[in-house]
Amino acid sequence: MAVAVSTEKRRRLPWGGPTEHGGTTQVAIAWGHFRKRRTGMASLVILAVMTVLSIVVPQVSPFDVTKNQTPLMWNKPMGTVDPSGYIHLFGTDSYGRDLLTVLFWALRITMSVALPSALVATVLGCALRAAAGYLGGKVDAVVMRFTDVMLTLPIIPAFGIFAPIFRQLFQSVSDNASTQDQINANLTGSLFVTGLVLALFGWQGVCRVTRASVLSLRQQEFVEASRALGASNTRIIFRHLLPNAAGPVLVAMTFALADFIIGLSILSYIDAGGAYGDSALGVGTLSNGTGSQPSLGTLIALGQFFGNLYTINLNPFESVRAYMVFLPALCIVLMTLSINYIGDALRYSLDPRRMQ
Amino acid sequence: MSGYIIRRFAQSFLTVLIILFTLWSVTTYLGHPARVYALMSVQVAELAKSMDELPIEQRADTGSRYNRMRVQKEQDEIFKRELEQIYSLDKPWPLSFLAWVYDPADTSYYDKIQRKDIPYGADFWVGPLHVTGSGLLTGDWGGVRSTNPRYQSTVGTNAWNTLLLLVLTLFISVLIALPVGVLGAVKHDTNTDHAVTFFTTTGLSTPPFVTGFMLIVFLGIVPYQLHTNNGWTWLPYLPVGGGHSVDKDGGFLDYIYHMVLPLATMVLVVAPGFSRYVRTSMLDALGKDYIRTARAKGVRPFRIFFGHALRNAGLPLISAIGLTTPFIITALGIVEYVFAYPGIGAFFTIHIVKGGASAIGVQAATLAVATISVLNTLADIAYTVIDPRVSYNKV
Repeated sequence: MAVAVSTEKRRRLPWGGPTEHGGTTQVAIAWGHFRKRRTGMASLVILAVMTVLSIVVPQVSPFDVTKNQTPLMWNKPMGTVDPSGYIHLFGTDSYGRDLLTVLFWALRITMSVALPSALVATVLGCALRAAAGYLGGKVDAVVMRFTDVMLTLPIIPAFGIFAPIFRQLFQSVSDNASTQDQINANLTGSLFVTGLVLALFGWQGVCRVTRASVLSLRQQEFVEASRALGASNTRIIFRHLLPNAAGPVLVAMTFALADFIIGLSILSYIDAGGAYGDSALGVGTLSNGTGSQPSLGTLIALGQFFGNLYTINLNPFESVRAYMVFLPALCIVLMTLSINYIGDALRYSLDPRRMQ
Repeated sequence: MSGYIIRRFAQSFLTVLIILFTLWSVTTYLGHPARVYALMSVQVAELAKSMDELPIEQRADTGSRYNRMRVQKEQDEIFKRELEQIYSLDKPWPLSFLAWVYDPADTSYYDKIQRKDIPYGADFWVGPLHVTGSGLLTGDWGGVRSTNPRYQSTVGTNAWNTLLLLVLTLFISVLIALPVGVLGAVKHDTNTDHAVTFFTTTGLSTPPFVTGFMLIVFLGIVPYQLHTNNGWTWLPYLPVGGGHSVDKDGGFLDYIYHMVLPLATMVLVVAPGFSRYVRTSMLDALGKDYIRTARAKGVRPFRIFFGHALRNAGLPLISAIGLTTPFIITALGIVEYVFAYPGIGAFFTIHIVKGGASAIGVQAATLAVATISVLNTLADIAYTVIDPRVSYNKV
């Protein structure tokens, strides 16, 4: 019997479709339901387009947004011709960078910080909760208490406490490195630290979801059966419990991603805005005339200076333009909105008890 | 009942104490100013020692630097000892932690620049009892006191502004979220429901500073421009920042007038999450049997929705408020920053992100954690009081 099972290997394509046995896979069923949600599909398309643009636009753009620009090009209106001969389609920002390029550059940075953080947070939350939910008893009580404690710590105080510490721990650049390399390492290190803080203080949502599903799965017969067959705790958790709890975890991950994008925007917005001294995060400004790593929040902070003039100018052919704020703001809202809608559609399509 | 309340408060007090101890130990042993300084002076001492070991002929051209370094090393030792004394790090760690929380003896320190004792902490009489001391419990927050002695009074007066904003936000958000959530659930899967879902999701996906900025532009700047430049003198406009007018005396109405935009932003940020909760739990409740019974009895729909369903569906909202408080506190800091509102949230937010100082992070975390714990406890107690099915003897 055991031989028969192992030779008769079932071919199941991850993207669904009928199997050799004529049935469909879970993924195919879920995709079929997901496709019917118009908002979810539209959000998926929007997010895909934004991702592709954020990868392509900074590559094909003739402007280098990581280099310091000449002050003559600061805050130029729509359609200004660059000394290099190219046209700034949306003008330049307050550092003289091409606004369109820097917008998608910031989009890329925001995504490349938020997505790994969400993945790390998911892994952390899953591992903690799966272990706690399965082992039960004292471990569960301790982890639950720990989660409760972590739930009461908001992101900004957590950032204030742990970012300086992480920065001390992780920012060791060799003295032989050039100044440019040191500054670049500093900036990347700051993004790394920000992402780390987001991940270390954002896993609670995933954790709660995982616990609920693991607690219900633990009681089921197949877990009992594999334990009777002599499977270890690790094997049961990673081969049986977590794959079965994957749906709610995926949904929780999308919501965590949206939260992290907002959290990163908040941190970089405050870091770059106003006249309150130097940037602690390092992601805000073009320090020492070198490259920078702006996120979307940074662009909003840099562009909102027209608010100080107490006037709003909708004419794009003047140097003070309202869309310097509205474009990055629209980017953030579109991105998080589509991620949230995708999460909703996922929750609907992965839920076996969905209303038919 | 009173036993349960006391137990619950004791529990949250213990949680706060554990968090405080964790934060204190983490910052003291990794990022505390005295420790960092000690580490620095050790490095300097090692450097000086390594120069000591150089042969004479190599030492000749670094002679002045060597001497300077030796003097620096002595000064560093003295400063390190002073710092350790101020932060009570020369004592064993339990005493050091207790002194950080409450130290009954220590109420002033000698400021070398102003050349006088500067009082901090508590010093007041309760009838015949003379209460003195420093530390967290007395409102002495440490860290900043060496640079700004007036800091603690700033926090003291502005805390009330923040508290008022927080309470009003929670109150108005619940008032708005309840009918909106009920509407979404009652008109389930219609265009009304889709609109409600769209607005709540948009509210949840907009960062607080974007919401605030949009309100500033569309309710502050644009009406002001129309009012002054276009001659629409009848058009009112809202103040976009500060706590009171500069030219007026700052009466109560003026104060409320300046609070409108920060409050509106907070409500726009907080209420969508609440109404989402209400909608989900209302959908659950409307599928229950007792609703069908009530419908069969011929109870009017309004009474079914608000009398039968909402009484059960509103309960999860109470725990939702407890769960969302960390986010609300974060949003509070951002909104105060955007509107230059005279509260403590903006103060902490700016100093944390711009200053990158662990000490201020700990202070903010203390306040935030304490507030959140109190709110959580109150939510739990309210839940127990309102829901007759929850037995408070077993918790």
